[in-house]
Amino acid sequence: MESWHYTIIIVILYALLILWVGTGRWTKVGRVAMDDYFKVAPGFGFIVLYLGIAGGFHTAFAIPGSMGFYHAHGVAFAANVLWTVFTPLGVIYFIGSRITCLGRKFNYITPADLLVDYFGDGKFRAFIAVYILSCCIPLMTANVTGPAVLLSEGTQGNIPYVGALLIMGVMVMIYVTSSGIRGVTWTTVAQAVWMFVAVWAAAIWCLNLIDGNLMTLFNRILETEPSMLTLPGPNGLATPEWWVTFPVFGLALYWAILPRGFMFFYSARDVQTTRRIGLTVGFYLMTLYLPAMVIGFTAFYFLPEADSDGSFPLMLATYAPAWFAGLIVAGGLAAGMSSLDADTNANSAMLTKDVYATFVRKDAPDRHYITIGRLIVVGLVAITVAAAAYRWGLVVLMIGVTASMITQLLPAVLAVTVPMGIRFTKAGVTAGILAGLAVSLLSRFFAADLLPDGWRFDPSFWGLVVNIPVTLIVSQFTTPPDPERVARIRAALDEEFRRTPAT
Amino acid sequence: MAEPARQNHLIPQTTWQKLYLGWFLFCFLMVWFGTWAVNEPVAVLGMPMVYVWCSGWGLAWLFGCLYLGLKIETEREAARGE
Repeated sequence: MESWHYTIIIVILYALLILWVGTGRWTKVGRVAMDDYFKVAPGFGFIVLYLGIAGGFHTAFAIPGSMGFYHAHGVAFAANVLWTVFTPLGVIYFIGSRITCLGRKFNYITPADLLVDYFGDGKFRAFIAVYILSCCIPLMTANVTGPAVLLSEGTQGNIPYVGALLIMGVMVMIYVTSSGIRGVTWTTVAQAVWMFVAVWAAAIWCLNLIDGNLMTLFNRILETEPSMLTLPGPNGLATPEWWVTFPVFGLALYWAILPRGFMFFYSARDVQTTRRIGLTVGFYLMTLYLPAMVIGFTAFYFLPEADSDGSFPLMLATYAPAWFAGLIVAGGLAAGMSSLDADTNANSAMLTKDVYATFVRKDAPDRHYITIGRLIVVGLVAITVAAAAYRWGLVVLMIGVTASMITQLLPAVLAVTVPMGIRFTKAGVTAGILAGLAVSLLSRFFAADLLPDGWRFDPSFWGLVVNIPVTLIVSQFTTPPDPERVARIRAALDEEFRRTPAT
Repeated sequence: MAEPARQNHLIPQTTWQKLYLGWFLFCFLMVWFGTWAVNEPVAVLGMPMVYVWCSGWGLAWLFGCLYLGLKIETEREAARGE
């Protein structure tokens, strides 16, 4: 057998494991209901949801993206500590637990459910759903591109790039249509474990390629490209304005309020489960990225001229034994698929509930909506694979646009989940979202023309700088939400979060 | 007009909640701004100093907030009479 045959055998074993986990009897439920397909009505406990969120939060950026980042920008990658810790301890612990509280109390299914329950239904639901959906295809596309390259390179091109895309797409399609969020979460548990093992195994292998000594690796980088070891990195990426805004405003604040985050928070058994995940999932998120430095630097040492994103796959193909390459390639598939499936399920839920069930066919039985949801899953995966097949260079840019768009929802989410005695109205948050989006897009595409050096902060940050005052000002002059709705939601939050110990 | 502290969910109520917020902000600032004070191509335990600084404060951030968060949980359970 040729070496790439071993790689394929391991990838096939991985695929069979994932299909078994994603369609087994533990993913089935007797009840046919939207709230038990798109989310888990009884709720997942700590361990399953912990690994589900841990894996679901790691996109293809984990493997091979993070290694490519180190190869291109050196220790600038350390900025990621700001999101791998800030997101769990700040956003999941503080906001995610509140989303769980309201989601369980009022049986929300989609992100729009939470916002319209506070601000009022109607066109606002369509606006939120369409707004969120318009961000999603680029994100899903980016999630399959990297792992498909990894699989194609890892098999020496014997599985072509498009074939790799199809393998991932068909697998996701099978277990998401079969089992909904249960399939998504159980497979993500397996994928989270696999990718963690793969990354650490890859780091140990890389260290052995040098001579098993971190100091040797450091000295070799110091001799060849010392700018890899300090900020702003060899390409000047990590400027002070990038460092203070990108990890927080471009990543941390938006990552947990993606639609997939809402679905996980809604699927927690109780508020305490989400809070405990917030306190602990950062250990997984952070320790997954710690070994990326060794891998990225080793790839740079051996292949300094290689394309950064392709450097790790190329190093595997050149130096690794086939069985080991298979293990890592499967880890890359795990990273991409664990986000693609969660996004597909969340987007299917939004299209089904917020668009189809609201504007096309109301009051149909849940069985009908679940069938529609499954058809939408097939359509979304097909669009994602077709879009990724083009390998257009716009993907990275489009992910940035996604981040800017989702971040602009933050004031609206805070208005609902964190009572703070400030007036927020539907018109106010809508105006804020649109103004923030316009400014963030302007700064993303025309920063060089509009902003002087030292002011080129992350576009999501600029968006919020405009979004928040616009939201507050417009809210002062427009109709407030129904007081009964506000009081009901507030009472639920007070009951859960403001009870103090008896003194 | 601002509402009383009990009604404003942004304001921490108990000492443990205040400590959680304080530790969160302190560690965040150590990574956010402090990194620039150690921006030299120097090895610490064989790794770049920037990397060790960020990872070290990241872990301190996690362990500290985990400890304080569990204290807050205990406090909440007491408030519920559990």
